[in-house]
Amino acid sequence: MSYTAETAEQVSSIAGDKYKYGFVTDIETEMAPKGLNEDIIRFISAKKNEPDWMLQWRLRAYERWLGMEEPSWAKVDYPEIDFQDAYYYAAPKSMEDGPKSLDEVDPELLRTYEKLGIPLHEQAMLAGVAVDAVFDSVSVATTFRKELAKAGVIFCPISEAVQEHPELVRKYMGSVVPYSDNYYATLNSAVFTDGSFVYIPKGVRCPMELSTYFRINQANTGQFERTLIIADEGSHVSYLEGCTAPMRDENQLHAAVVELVLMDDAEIKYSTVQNWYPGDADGKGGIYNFVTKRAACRGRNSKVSWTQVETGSAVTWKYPSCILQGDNSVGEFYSVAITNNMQQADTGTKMIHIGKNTSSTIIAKGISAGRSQSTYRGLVRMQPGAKGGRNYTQCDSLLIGDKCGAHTVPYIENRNRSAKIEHEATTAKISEDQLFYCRQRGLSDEEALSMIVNGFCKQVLQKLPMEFAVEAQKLVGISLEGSVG
Amino acid sequence: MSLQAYQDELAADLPGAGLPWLTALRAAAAARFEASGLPDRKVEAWRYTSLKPIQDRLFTRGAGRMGIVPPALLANSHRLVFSNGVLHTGATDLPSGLRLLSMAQAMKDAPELLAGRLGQVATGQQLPLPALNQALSRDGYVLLLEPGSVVERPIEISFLSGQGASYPRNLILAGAGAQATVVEHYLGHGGDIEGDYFLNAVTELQAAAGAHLRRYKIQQEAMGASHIATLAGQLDGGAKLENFDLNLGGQLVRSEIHIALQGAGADAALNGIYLLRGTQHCDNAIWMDHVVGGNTSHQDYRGILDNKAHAVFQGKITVRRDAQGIEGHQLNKTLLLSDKAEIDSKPELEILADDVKCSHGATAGELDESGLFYLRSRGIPEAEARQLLMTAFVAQTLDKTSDEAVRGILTGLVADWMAS
Repeated sequence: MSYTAETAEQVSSIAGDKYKYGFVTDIETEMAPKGLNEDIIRFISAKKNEPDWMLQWRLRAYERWLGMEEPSWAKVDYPEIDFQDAYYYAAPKSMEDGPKSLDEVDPELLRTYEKLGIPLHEQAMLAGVAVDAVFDSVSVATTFRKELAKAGVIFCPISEAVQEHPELVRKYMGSVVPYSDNYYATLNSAVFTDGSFVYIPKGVRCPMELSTYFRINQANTGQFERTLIIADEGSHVSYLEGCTAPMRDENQLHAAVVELVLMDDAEIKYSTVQNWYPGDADGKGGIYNFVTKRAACRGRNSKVSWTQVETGSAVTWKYPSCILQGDNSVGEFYSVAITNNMQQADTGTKMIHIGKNTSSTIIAKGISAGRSQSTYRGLVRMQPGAKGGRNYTQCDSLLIGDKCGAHTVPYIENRNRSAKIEHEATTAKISEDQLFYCRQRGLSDEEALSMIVNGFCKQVLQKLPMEFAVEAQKLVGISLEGSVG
Repeated sequence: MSLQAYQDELAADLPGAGLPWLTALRAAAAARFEASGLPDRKVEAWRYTSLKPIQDRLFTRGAGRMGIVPPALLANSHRLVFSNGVLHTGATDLPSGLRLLSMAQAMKDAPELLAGRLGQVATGQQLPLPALNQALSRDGYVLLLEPGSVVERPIEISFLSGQGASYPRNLILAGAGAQATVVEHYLGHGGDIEGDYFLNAVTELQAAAGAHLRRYKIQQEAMGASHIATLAGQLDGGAKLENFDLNLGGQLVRSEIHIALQGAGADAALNGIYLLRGTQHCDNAIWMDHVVGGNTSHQDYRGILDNKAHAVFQGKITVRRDAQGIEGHQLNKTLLLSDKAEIDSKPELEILADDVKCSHGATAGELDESGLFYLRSRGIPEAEARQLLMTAFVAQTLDKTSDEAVRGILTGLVADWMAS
């Protein structure tokens, strides 16, 4: 039997139960009623005890959103979303009083994290990682705050930042992704419930990697995180974002917004491992992941690096972008997108070169298996002032099985003579020679596949911080389990 | 003027107006255009090109024939000359197996050659501009090749325009194993005058099994002209098409190519060069559809932009579900000579089968400084060195032209552009 035929057979035999993080935590939640209207927004704002300017901002966004149309240009197909049939606020009830330390956190919650493999104490101590865990819509535990505070770093839930650092939030929120930006970002601006806020002061190198584990828990709750990271002059931070979600049947909408602001000589490294529930083998259930991520390199010599490993979600719509405004600023995008079964991913990046001698690198690897569809969609634009701008783009697609699809839609716009753009893309199927070689050396099919795909993704996985890289390599294997015979 | 009003005035006057099938074809095409109108920039395929400059010119009447016959590019060719979209000079002494006549003449004298054949290539023809062409076209060339016929001499079709709007509609039907070389030469009256005419041409091409066609399109419209051209082709098994698109003239140019590879072993090589200056705008848009397995395609487009010129390249390779064993490659390279020039490139892949080898590459930038330095260090003056590098840059595409005589002409035209 040829590999192709076996592959097809195996793909069809994949069951949804491969998702090892599929469980639902039983915690009483306090919810706003279903639906979306001004009152719900006022309710969310009141719950968060927000100042009036924040509420007005939300309401402006909501008004704007009402007049917007859901975008349809992406190569994804999903049933129409009924925005009135979802809850926009759910907070773990035991949080009302607010825990003072980890000991006060609901043990049920802690056990959830343990099941996810992120015991807070251990991880914090052993890995030196500060975790701001978002459980549904309210941040429940934040560690290492004091140590970070010593360095002057602010790392807190955004709702808290609105209270304690309103001048920073007011100045920067919406300055990279305006509330009118796009359908999902505007929705997020109206109803966002939580997310992370990071401020790295001048000249500070953040003493540890910052990490947020997002987790969607409450059935039917849209998740609308909002993350804002400001790296002041000469500062440096590495931020990790990873996600898992419990298994369920109803589709869940996730529309996050991430804004990064970089001043002179600042550097942000933003890494994501996304492993939300992709739906079962027939495409039932799964998360809709419509994310707006954008970094503004405002300062000279600033550098932003997006690294993402996208293996989950039923539908992904995500284009982490860089606005390279400061002279000599650098933007990087390293991406691995793996789709299997009925998953659809439309992802890529935008590199907008405005300043002189700005440079960007795009390395995108797409792996499609089963009946999935994977699209790279990217824009590289050299504005007239981008003298000496430089871009290198490479996007490669790997096809496993004959029922999947891989698409590449790059936009390359050059308006400056001295700017150089290079783009290359390839699409091919997994090499039977390589599979044969690995098998002949005694590796099982799955080991062989995992090894070849990991090799294919190596350029990107190498860019991840150490502890993430290990996890991501395993994830690559798990995501493709059973897709080769 | 609306399409309907224009048609009412024109309908009885169009060649073949008495043929029910042709009237139906024209009415259906008119309805399609009316339904969509001219595409605006919100339509993805028109993202970088605005048709606003032509919207008031669609229904201006052609001025009829001009009394000039431009000199032929090729010696010893079978030649047709069209003037403002209608036949000026026909061809005589045709070898057996070849029919080459004007569309209007065929509609009048031999409609059986066209019935069930005209407007049959599905790919690309449903779009608004080709539909408008179908509705309004008065003339064009018809090239029929009997199965197995090999036409030795090249075929040269000249389209000279100077005024109004013209809608040439061309049909190439190549029987199994037939071979021919066609040059479509579009040029403005007098060559260098600022004609502001509008031309919307469609060439429909069907190549039966094993046919080999070479089609070279040389576009030297007047610098004020708007030129829209569509090639809609389908290739059966083993058929080969070599197409070259040289764009030198025109203010607003859109060259669309839609090719469906419908049989195993079919091969399409699409090459092109665009050399622009002033405020010229040239948009090359290609849709390559690998319908079944086992066929191949190659695209190589290069351009040089000076002053405020704006070039667009959009090329999409589609590999349909179960079309296994496909090879599809695409390359687009552009040199920018000025800070005001702009290139927008969108090479796209849509792959739904797995046994494929597909790639695309795109580059945009200025002349290689180190190459320039090397040449100058060897005593070559800067202007000459630049010209050498530019010549070398486009030569790689020119060299893919298999017809020697045509390659010589293309090379000469490119050299003229560089020297001017």
